[in-house]
Amino acid sequence: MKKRSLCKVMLKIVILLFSVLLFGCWDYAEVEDRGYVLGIAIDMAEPLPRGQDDLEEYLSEREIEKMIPQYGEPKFAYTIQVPIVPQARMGPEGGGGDVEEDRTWDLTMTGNNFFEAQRQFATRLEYLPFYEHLQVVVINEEVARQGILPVLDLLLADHEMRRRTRVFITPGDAKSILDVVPRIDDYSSRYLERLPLGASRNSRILHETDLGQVAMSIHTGVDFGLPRVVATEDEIKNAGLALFREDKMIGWLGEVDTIWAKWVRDAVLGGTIVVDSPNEEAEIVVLEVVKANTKVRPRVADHQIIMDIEVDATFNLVEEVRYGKANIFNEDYLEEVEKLAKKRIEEEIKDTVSYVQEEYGADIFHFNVQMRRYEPDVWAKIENEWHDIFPQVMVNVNAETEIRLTGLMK
Amino acid sequence: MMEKELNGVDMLAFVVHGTVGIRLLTIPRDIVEIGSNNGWMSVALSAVIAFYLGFSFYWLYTKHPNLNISQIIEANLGKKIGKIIMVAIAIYIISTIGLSLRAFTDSVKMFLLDTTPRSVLVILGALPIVYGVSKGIKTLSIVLDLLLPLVILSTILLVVLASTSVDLENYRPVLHEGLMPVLKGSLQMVHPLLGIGIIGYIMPQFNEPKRVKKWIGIGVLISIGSYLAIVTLSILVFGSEETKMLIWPTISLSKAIQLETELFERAESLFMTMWIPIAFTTMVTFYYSSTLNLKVLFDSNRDHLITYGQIPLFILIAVLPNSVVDNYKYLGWVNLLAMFFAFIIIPLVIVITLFKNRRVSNEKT
Repeated sequence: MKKRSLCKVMLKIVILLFSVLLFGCWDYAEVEDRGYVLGIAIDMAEPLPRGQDDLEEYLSEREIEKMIPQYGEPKFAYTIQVPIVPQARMGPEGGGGDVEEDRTWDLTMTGNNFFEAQRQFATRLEYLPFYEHLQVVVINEEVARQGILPVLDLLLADHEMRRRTRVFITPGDAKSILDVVPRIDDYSSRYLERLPLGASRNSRILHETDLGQVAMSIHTGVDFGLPRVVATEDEIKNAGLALFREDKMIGWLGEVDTIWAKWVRDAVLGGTIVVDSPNEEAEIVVLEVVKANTKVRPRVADHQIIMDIEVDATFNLVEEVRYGKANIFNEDYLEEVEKLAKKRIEEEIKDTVSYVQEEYGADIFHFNVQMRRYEPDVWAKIENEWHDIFPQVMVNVNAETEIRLTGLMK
Repeated sequence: MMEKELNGVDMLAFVVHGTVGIRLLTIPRDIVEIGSNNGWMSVALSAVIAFYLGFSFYWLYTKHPNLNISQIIEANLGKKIGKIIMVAIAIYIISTIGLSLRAFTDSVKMFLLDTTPRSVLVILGALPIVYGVSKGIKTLSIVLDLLLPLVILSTILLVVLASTSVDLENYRPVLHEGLMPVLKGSLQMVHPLLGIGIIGYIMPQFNEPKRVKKWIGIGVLISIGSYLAIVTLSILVFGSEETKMLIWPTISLSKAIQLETELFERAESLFMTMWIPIAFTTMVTFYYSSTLNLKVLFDSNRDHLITYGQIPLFILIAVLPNSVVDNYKYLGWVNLLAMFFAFIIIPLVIVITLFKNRRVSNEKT
């Protein structure tokens, strides 16, 4: 009896020790011991390093950034951005970092796969690179043209990565985007991550372009666009898009065409459209988008695929660049503007679709997705030839427009 | 003679916890691989399987009062065949516990505790299960009742948060490939739903068995509702093609949540901590069933020996798979065994019971 109760006590002690001492201890890591990676830039491996003109100084850096891969030759230059937290100006205490001091440490490593390269950072970085707060991935055009799947594979599969991390394409060096020293924010990655929020004000900005979207597009076999970014020393501009067919970039779409591509994809959150004024020649009316809904439905008639695009848009009339003094507080006038807006939307959408069809043949409008959803029998027959069929697809656009508010002046 | 310690309402927690377990993390992929974007229909259809299983166990008990399902099998199929089937049940349940424990530790290792040794996670995962069962059915019932809101709340929270990322048109095209993939997809639900078999073992412990029926129905609806919500959300958020690519779609679903405010940046950690007790409760119901099955198999009442004697078995099974791929291959085999019980053994026992009842009533007349 005594022996049994002693066993019970011993068992309880063992369980208590297990639960207190073991669980979680292996994974214990102090917050300040982690190197939070905020941004990743991916460039071609040569030339190294970037953004430094003094040859003598950068030769040593060139050596340190070079990694001899276990297999093959270095192909890409991977840069990670780690914040130097004590230098942050926007800290909870109100900040105070020196403006002249670097607020981030951008480390580059060459290699032919990201995992090996990021482990190689351990040879230079005393903190453990930690990716759970990764904000942005910037990819250089040349890399993107060769295909983004090989460089994004780890980012899609690793448990530390987030599907909502934003992906951008730049015609220049991707690292130069991370090197930007923002005026307000502390870190360029954070600054860049917030730029797509402007899509509610401006349709030239793509906003749903994260790792999850890229994975879905590639795995579903649909073409897609990723936002174009360019930078100066202290500014980044996010407008326009890079077109992708499968995982390879095939070209750029300008800012204005991006607006109309977003209208087709039912991705407009806000923005403006400018139409001629019904009053005088050379006068223009500026409309702010309040609501924009687009429905795309495929129709097959006489072996011809037609996409019926129905647009329903509501605007506020915000500005009339007028030289005369027309009265805008007038029903007939507003009806005229609505008709002009309708005409403009219909024409611009047709032009943009036809431009992309002829120039690139990339179905960034996801007409194939609509075919699969609404015409599955036809889709099953043409699925494999879609890229040949897409340039011949006709579009039929019908826009319904409405103006709600007209500002404070007649 | 067991003490009748449970009330009708206690059945609700047993049904929900028995059926909603670690498979919740992978079921969207398993189903969508077969049913594609109509996978949600497979889950809805599996409600029929759940009701069939739940009410079969209930009905068999009403025809054999005070016997658990292993005793009923023995009574109907004879001692020899009965024992063989009980061995098969033991293999099925202990494998399920072991492989679920492994799947659970794999996901915990992947998302929460990546450097903690697997063996420690397995042992620490097993300890509360063993402790729970050793405390008896009443304590177990109270623990399950307390944890029931967690299943419901975590599902609701995931639905609310992930609904910001859905594309409602992802459910199209509807039934383009016919009903067959939907039907086949629903078979993937047999393994998790056979967790309802706990009814067959705990029915003798209810003081008013007739009141249990209602709670079995409600429990099935909650379980199917949870699975339906998760599978539908996966299809609407990721689309069927992407869901097929995700090893743990439900965790990816929680990783896909990002609100404009900086809230839930690591939502998967929140959901992982919610799913730990969910996995525990399912394993504990299986463990309890296993203990009662083995007691009938060995005609033994030595509670401690039978309860603790299984520990090395399921720990061994948990560490047996070489990789996550291996583990899911074995779980696929266990699913086949589940189908064998659900569609061959249970109908066989029902038919024999009906036949015996008819013979008895004929003899009376």
